[in-house]
Amino acid sequence: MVADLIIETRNLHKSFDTGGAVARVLRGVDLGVERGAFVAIMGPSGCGKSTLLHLLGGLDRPTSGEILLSGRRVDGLGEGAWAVIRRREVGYMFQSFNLIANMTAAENIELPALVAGVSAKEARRRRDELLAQLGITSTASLTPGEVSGGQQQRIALARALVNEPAILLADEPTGNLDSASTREVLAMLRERHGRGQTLVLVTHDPNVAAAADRVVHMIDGRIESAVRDGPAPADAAATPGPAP
Amino acid sequence: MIRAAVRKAMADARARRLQAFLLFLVISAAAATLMLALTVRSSASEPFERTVREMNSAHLWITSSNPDVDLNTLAALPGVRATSGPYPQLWAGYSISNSEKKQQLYLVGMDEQLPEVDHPAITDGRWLRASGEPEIVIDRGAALRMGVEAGDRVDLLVDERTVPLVVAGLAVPTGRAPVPVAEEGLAYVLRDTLQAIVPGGRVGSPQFYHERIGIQLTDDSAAPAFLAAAEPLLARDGVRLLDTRADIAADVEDANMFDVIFLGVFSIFALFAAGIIIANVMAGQILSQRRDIGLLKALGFTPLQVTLVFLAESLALALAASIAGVGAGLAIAPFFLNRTAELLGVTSAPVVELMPIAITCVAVLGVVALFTAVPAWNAGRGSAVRALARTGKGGARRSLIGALAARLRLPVVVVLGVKDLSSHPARAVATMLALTLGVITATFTLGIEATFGTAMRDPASIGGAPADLVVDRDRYDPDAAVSLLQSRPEIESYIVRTDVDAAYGEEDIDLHGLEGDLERGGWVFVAGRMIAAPGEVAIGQNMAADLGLDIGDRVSITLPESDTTLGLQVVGRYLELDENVMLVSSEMLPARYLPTDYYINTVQGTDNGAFRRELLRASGGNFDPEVMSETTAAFRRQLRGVILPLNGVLFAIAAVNLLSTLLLGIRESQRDYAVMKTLGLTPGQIAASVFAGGALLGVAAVIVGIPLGLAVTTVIFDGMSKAVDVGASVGTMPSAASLLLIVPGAIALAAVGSMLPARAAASIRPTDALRYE
Ligand SMILES: Nc1ncnc2c1ncn2[C@@H]1O[C@H](COP(=O)(O)OP(=O)(O)OP(=O)(O)O)[C@@H](O)[C@H]1O
Ligand SMILES: [Mg+2]
Repeated sequence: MVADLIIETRNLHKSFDTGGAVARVLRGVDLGVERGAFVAIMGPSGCGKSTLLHLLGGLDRPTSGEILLSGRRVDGLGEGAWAVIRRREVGYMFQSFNLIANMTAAENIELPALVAGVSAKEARRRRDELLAQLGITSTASLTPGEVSGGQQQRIALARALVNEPAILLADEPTGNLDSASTREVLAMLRERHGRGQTLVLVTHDPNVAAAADRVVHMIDGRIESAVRDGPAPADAAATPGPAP
Repeated sequence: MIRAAVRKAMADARARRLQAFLLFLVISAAAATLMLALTVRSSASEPFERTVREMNSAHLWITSSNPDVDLNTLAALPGVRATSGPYPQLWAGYSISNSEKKQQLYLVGMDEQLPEVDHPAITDGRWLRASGEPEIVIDRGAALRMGVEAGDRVDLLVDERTVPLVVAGLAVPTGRAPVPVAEEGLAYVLRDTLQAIVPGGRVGSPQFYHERIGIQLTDDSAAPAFLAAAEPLLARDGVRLLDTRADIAADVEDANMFDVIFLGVFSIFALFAAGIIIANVMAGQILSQRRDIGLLKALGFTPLQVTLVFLAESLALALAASIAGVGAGLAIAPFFLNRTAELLGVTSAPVVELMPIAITCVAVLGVVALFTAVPAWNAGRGSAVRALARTGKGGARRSLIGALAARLRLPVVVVLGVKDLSSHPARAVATMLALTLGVITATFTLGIEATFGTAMRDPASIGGAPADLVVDRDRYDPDAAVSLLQSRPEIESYIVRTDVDAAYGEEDIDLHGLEGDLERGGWVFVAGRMIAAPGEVAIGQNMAADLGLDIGDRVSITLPESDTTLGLQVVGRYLELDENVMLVSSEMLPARYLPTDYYINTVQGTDNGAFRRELLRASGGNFDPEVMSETTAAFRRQLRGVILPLNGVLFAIAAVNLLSTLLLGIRESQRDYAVMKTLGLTPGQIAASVFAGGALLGVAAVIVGIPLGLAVTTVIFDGMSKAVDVGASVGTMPSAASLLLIVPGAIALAAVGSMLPARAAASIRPTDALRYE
C-alpha cells in the first residue's frame, strides 16, 4: 500500500548560473513526506537545505525533477498558482524571518490571513491566539525593528501558521532562540503536530531534530540517509489524522 | 578628492542608467520650455528688425493734409540723417477685391525708382513700372490673407467705379505694420496711377491726399531733439506724427503675446515639477547609499564635501540637460516665430542671444541645486557609524494611513499600495504635487476650451462683435446694402452701425450709432443695460474704468466734424475689445453720417462661411463679411498649438515623476514585496497594489489640483483679459462635467506612470530578493 505522501520530490535538481560557472546545488533529491509527519532536515552549511525548502514552497523553480503536493504535480505551476497554494496549504518561515519592516508584529501576522480573504475579525482572533501561544503578546504593536531577534523569529513563525496550513516549511525556526524559548516553540510545534500538522523543519539543533519523527541528512545536494529516530509517541504510524 | 567624486558620480550614473536618463529628459524638457519662452519673447521682433534693416527704414513718419505746410523743411532739422518723400497718400482707405476676399488699403503714390531710404521691401514679384497696364504693389500680409499673388489682377473699388490693376509684386510696407497686425494695409501705385484714380486731387482736398514723409534719424537717441525742433510744424493744422518704428515693432511683437504668456507660466510649472523629481530621486539615492556615504566619510570626506559630491552629481546632469534644452528650445522657436516671419516674407531664425541661454541655465541649475540641497545636506550631516550600521531595516514608522485604509475595509492589495507610499510621506506628497501641476494644466486647458466654446457661439462674451457676421460698408451704396441685406433669407436680423469720430473732453471717442434690434445684438453687459432710447449711452467697460465713468453719469460728447454736442446719460457698461467706444442710438446723429458697418445674425443652421462668399459675390465684391466664428476658430487654433504641446510636456513630467517615485519605493522595499509573494500575493496582486498607490496619488492630485487649477485659470484669464484690455476679466470656467473627465485622465496618467514599476514589482523573485541579508 502506497503511503499517503503530502510532499514528494523525484530526482529534483537545482543549479544556479553564477556568472558563467554553474553551481549545482541540488543533485537529485528524492524525498517523501507522509501526511502529518514531522521531518527535520539537517546538514552542513551550504549543502542546499534552504534551496530545497524554497522549491517545496514554490519560491523558486527546479532545474529538473518533479514536485508533488498531495499527489498533484506542482513543479510546473506559475507564480500566481503557487501564491494561491501558499495562502492555504503551505506556511513558509524564513531562516532570516523577513518580516515587513513598516508593519507591526500584529499586522505582519494578520497579513497572510487577509490576503487569503479571511475576515479582519477572524484574522485578529487567530493572531491573538498565536501571539499568546508563542508568548509574544507584548510585541503586537511594535515594528520588527523594535523587537529582539528571538521575538522576530516567533513573529515569523506565527505569520507562517496564521492560515492554518496543512504543511509548515520552516527554515531554522529556533536558530536565534535561547533554550527556554526553543522549548516553548518546540512544545507549540509538537502540539500542532499532534493535531495533524505536517512539519518540515531545517535545523542545526539536535534537540529540535530529536523531536521529529524522522531526520533527513543532506550532504552536497543529495539526501544521505533518512533516519527514523524520533521519539516513540510521535511515530508516523501512530500519528492521528487522516488515515492512509 | 575631485577625482574620487567624479568617479563616484560616474558609478552612480552607470548603476542607475534609466533613472539618470529620465532625469535628463525631464530637466531638458523644462529647460527647453523656458528657453522657448525667453527666445520667443526676445526674438519676436527679430524678423521685423531684419526687414527694417533691409528697407533702410525711417524712424518716424509724418503726414500733412495742410497745403501750406512744406514737409521738406524737416530734412534740415537736428538729428535727421535722411528723408524719404514726401509721397502722396490717399486720404481714405480704398479696397481691392478679388473673387475671394476684399481688403482695405491705403494707397501711396511712388516713383519707378525706389528711394534709397525707407523703401518697401519687395518679397515677391517686382516694383512698379510705368509701361503697360497700371500696377499695384500690395502689403504682403494683405495679399496672403486674400490669396493674391504677383501677376494677379485685382479690382480697386473707388466709389462708383472699379479700377482694374495688375499686382506687380508684394512688399512689406514701411511706416505701417503689415496686415493682419494692422487692419488696413498699405499698397503702392505710381504717382500717375494715383492721379488717375482720384483725378484733380491735391493735398488737403477732401477726396484726395496727405503727403507723407519718412524721417531717418542719425540714431534712436536723436528722436527727442528732433521732435522738439519739429514741434512748431507738428502743431500746425493737419500735420500728424504717425506710429514710430518702435511702435510698429511692438505691435508686431504682440502677435506672440499669448505664446509668451503661456510658455512663461508653463515653463515655471515644468521647472518646479522637474525640481520635485530631482528632490525625490536624490533623496532616494541618498537613502540607498547610506553605506557609501559612511564610507566616503570614513575615507576622509567632510560633511560639506559629501553634500558637494551629491550636489555636483545632479548639477552635472542638470548642466548637460540645460544644454540639450537650450538646443531644443532654439530648434522649436521658429515654429512660433514663423507667424510673423511669414508676413514679412523672411524665414525666421531665432537669435542666439546670451541672455536667454544664461537665464535658462542659471534657472535650471538653481532649481536643481535647491531641490538637491536639502537631501544632500542631510546626507552630509548623518553620522558615519550610523550610516554604515544601517541595513535599511528598522526605524520604519508605523503607517497611520495603512491602518486607516484597513479600517475602511479596502482590499488588502490596496492597503499595501497605500502603505508603501506612506512609508515615505514626503516623497509621496512631492510626487502628488507634480501630478497636481498636471491637473492644474488640464483644468486651465479645459477653461480655455470652454471659453472658446462660449466665444464661438457668442463672440460678444469676450468683447467681440455681437453678431455672426460683421461687414464694413466701405464704399458700397447704403441703399444697395440695405436692399441686399433685406433680400437674403439667411439673415435673421441685422443692426446698422454708424461710426463717428467724437470727443469726450480730451479723449477721442469712437461713437457707434446703432439702429435695429439692439436687444438681439447680444452685447454682454457688466453693469446696467443696453441703450433703449435716444439720450442714452452705453460705454465699453475698459473705457469706463479708464475714465472713471459709471452708470447714471451724464456725459457731453462733441462731434467735431459737424459741430454738434450730444448730452447723454450712461446706462450700461459692456465688454469691448476696442478702446473708447460708446454706443448711442443712430437717431442722435446728424443725417450727414452714413452707415459704416452691419452686424448680421443669420438664421440657425446657416453655413456662415458659404454665406460670406455669397454676399461678396452678390455685392460685386463690396461686402466681405468677417465670420466671427472663423476668427475665433483661427485664434483657438493658434492657442491650441501652444497649449496642447505644453500639456503634453507637463503630463509627461508628471508621469515620469510618478514612475521614478514608485521605482524608488519598489527598489527600497524589494524585500517586502518578495515576502508578500511568499505570503500568497500573486504577481497580479503585487502589480495591482503598485497601481493602487499610483492611482491614490492621482486621485489626491485631482482633489488638490482642481481647486488650484480653477484659481490659476482665474489668474491667467485675468492676465489675458488685461492683455487684450476688454475691461473686465472674461473667460468661461470649465464645466463640472468636463472637470470630471480629469479624474479618469489622472488615473490613466497614474496607470502609465505605474506600469513599469508595477511590472518591476511583480517580477521580483523572492529567492533573489531575500537571499542577501
Ligand atoms: N540564487 C543563488 N545563486 C547562486 N548560488 C546560490 C543561490 N542560492 C543558493 N546558492 C548556493 O547554493 C548553495 C546552497 O545554499 P543554501 O542556502 O541552500 O544552503 P543551506 O544548506 O541552507 O546553508 P545554511 O545552513 O548556511 O543556511 C550555497 O553554496 C549557495 O551559495
Ligand atoms: Mg539555509
